[in-house]
Amino acid sequence: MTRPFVTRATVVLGLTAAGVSASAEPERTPLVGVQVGTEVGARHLRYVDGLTSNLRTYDLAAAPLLGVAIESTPLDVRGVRAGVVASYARAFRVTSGHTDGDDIASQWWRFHVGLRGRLPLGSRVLAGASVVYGGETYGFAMSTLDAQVPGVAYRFVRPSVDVEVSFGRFGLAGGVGYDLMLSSGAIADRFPRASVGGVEAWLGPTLSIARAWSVAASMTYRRYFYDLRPEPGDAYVAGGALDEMYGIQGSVRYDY
Amino acid sequence: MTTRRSWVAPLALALVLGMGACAGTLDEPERFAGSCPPVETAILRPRCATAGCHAESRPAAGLDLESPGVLERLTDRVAAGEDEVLVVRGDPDASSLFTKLTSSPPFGARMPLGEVLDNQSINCIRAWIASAP
Repeated sequence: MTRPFVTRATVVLGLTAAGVSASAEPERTPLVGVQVGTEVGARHLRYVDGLTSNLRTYDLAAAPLLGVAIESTPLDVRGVRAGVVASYARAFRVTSGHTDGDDIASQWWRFHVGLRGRLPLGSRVLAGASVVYGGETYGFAMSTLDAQVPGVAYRFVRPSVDVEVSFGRFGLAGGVGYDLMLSSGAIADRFPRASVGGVEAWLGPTLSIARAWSVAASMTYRRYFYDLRPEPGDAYVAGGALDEMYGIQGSVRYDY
Repeated sequence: MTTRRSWVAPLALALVLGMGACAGTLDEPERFAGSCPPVETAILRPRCATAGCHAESRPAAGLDLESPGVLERLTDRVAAGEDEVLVVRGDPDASSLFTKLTSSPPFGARMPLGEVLDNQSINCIRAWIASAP
């Protein structure tokens, strides 16, 4: 049976993990998995207890993204396959509406690179853990919109755990991660006492379609949460903020 | 059994993370009553100096609310095409920069177009002009 890859890279990209094979061929551990996919992403930014009128919500109903992820786990440490993961995803044709009716080009991209380990738990379950350095950036091409709805540039270290359960050719994969935030961009810049954190969760089915090939779908949810801690006299006053990002992905994976 | 156990840890972790992943709130919002931020940078620039409105580049009605020194530039200046003075130092009710924000503007539409300013921001602009020496 081909050992399945359950990727943290999936998450990263928002591409889900892949393949469980029911093949009876001799076991061969894949050294590299390459995954490409597409995503429909959404974003919703809102403030909590906002008192000043210079704080605006932001909604992106749907935007297409393309992504690629690579995973290589060549090391075997006492049964744990270990290696590296990397991914990149970017939205295209994203525009933001302005109050005067103009559409403003916007950018949305994210990446991850880091370490990953996988451990089989019985014949049907594969557990995984990753620690990645990553980033997610959402910005606007026009500074005047940036003045109202600041862009974000999250940079973080994200430990995560995941698990995939296989049912023949089918599988179900999911996981969670927590972001140890290194920087977050303009929103936090406006609130000098702010603290920021982030979490991510994903879940989705996988299907092995041929030797070394698999497809997957998933839903992901990322949530960046702010405790803004303003003081009287500050230019911007709100208790907190939530920056939520949703995605529905489909991907194809090849394991070599 | 193994399968069941393997889901427990991620689910438990998800619950823990989810419970702690909340945005902050204002514990004492009354502390902020009456406190005003810097008017130019925190109110005028983000709410009025937007594209197609009063940005530095091609400002509507020639009124630039983005460049620094708004108070100095608008003092005793007459609004384009009107008889109203934009800023009369110490007298917000005679300053169309303020009165245009109210529900009864002296001419034209209430500003900003679309979502109007909250009362606290309007009061801050009023106080800002009233306290100008």
